[in-house]
Order: sequence, then C-alpha cells, then structure tokens
Amino acid sequence: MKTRKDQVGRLLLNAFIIALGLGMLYPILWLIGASFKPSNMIFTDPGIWPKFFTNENYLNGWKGIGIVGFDTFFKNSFVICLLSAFANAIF
Amino acid sequence: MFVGTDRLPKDERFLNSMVVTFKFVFISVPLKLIFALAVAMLMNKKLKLIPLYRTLYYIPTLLGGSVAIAVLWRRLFAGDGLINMILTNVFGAQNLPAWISNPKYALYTLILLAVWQFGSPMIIFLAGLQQIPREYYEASSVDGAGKIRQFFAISLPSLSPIIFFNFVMQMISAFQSFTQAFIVSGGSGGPLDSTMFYSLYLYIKGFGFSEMGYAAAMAWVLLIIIAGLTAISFRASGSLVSYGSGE
Repeated sequence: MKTRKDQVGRLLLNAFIIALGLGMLYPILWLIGASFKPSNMIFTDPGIWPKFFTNENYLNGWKGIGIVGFDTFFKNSFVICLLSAFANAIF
Repeated sequence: MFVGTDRLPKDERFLNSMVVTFKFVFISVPLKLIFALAVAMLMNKKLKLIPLYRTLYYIPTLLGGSVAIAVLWRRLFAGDGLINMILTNVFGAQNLPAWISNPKYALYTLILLAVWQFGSPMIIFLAGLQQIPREYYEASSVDGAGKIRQFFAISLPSLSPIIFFNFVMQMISAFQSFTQAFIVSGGSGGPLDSTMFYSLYLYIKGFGFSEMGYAAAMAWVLLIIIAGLTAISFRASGSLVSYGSGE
C-alpha cells in the first residue's frame, strides 16, 4: 500500500531528476534554439527561444563548402559508420 | 641518437604540458566517477519515467566529444558568454572573469566539459548496481542499517571492481584528450599554455613545428606513462577491490 509520504517523496525525486536534467541539457537546448536564430542575433539574443525564426542556417549549411555539399559529408560518414559497425561486431 | 628523448626533460613547455595533463586527469576523472555514480544511483530508483530520464542523461555523452559542443563551450564561458550573463542577471554577480581566456580558470572549464560527459561510466555503474542482490539490502535493513551505512557497507564494496574498471578506462582516455583543448583554445593551448594538453603539444610539435621525431618521442613517453599508471592502479587495487563471490 502506498502511503501519502511515499507519494510526496516520489514527486520530489521526479522534480529533482528533471531539474538536474534540464540544467545539464541547457547547452544543448540552447544550441537547438540558436540554430533557428539569424546569425547576427545568436549572441545578442541569449534566450533559448528565438525572437525571430529562420531556416536559412539549415539551408546554407546543407550547401557545405564550395562544390562539396553536406550530402557528400553524410554519405562519407554513413559509409564509415556502417562498415566499422559491421566489422566491429564480427571481429 | 636519442635526440628526441634527450630533449624532452629540458623543454619547459613539455614539462608544463605534462603538469596540465596530470591536473586534468586527476581532477576530472574522480569528479566524473563520483557524479556518474550519484546519477546511476538516482537512475536505479523505481519510477515510471526512468527509461526517459536515462535517455536524457545520456545525451551529453553522445554529443559531448564533438567539435560542435567544444565550440559551444567556448562561447558559453567567454567573457560575454551565456554563463556570465546568467550569473549577472540571475544571481547579480559582478566583475566576473572571462573563464576561457583567463589562465587561472581555462583548465577548469575543460574539466567541467569532461565531467559533463559522465554517461558511459554511469551506464556501467547502473548495470553494476542492478547486479547487487536485493537480499543484502533487506538483510541489512532488518539489522537496522540506514541508507548511508548500506551505501558504504554494501553498494561501494560490491561495486569496487566496476569503479576500478571505470577509473582505469577513464584515466586512459583522459590522458589522450585532445579535441576539447584544441577547439576551446583555438589550437594554441592558450591562454599562457594553461590548456596545453600533452596530445595537443604533441600535435603542435609534430604538425606545427614539423618536428616529427620529437612528436614520436612524446607519443612513446605518453604510452609508457599510461602503461605505468595502469600497472600501478592494478597493484594498488589488490587491497581496495573485492572480487569476492559475496559469500
């Protein structure tokens, strides 16, 4: 049987875990938020939620550098990832 | 003949890189293990959302070694960075230093970055905690042992082989850490060589100054240091680690 004291303890434990987790994930959440900010506002707008949304970071990023785009980068990473995972699992 | 190895002890930047690396290893590894064990004990509780929590707490480890996080870290701890902004606006702190560009604190930001990636020792600790038979705890609570007593008398001794394993693995990888220092210091090991890790100096010597022989000598010395420290840990572990079957 669950007592009232148990429930309060459980609630406090959950709250503690969530608070600690949010504190730890803060930089990553901020990074996700920053990816939608216009590049001149990334450091002037310190909050997580962007004041202006833009997707140009993703569009420009996908173009990569010069003639080599992110599709090539991903393809290379996938080849390495798949081959090394298979080889590691077998040997 | 032994040009590289003869020059090593006379090179002050080399000796400094050794001091910085040892400081990094022996501060970051214990902190990381303590934090990993604490979180593993939290994650060992019986709550409905535990699978979700375990996933969330592992995220920093998945991303932490990447260049993106190192760049982010550099911005976070800059003089006008996010950390100082929060400390000023929320806690009203004044005259805060620029953590990354102050030789006194730069190394500690890197230690924090290392501790933040506590996920893999945490997973191993968690597996270890779940292998401890419940009867031990039940029997000891019948005998009147409190939670703290149980931790020191049951959990810690049962986990000692796992703590030892984690310590050796984390020590080895901490000695080789390179990416964080390279990115955060902009490849210079600065300010004032305060984040000049061993492998960063090796890289700078080998590829910056094109002294490949010197760098190769350094690589050998690092291998010997790591092997030596691992051997010492194994010796010292004899009296600290119990591999008993629990009888």
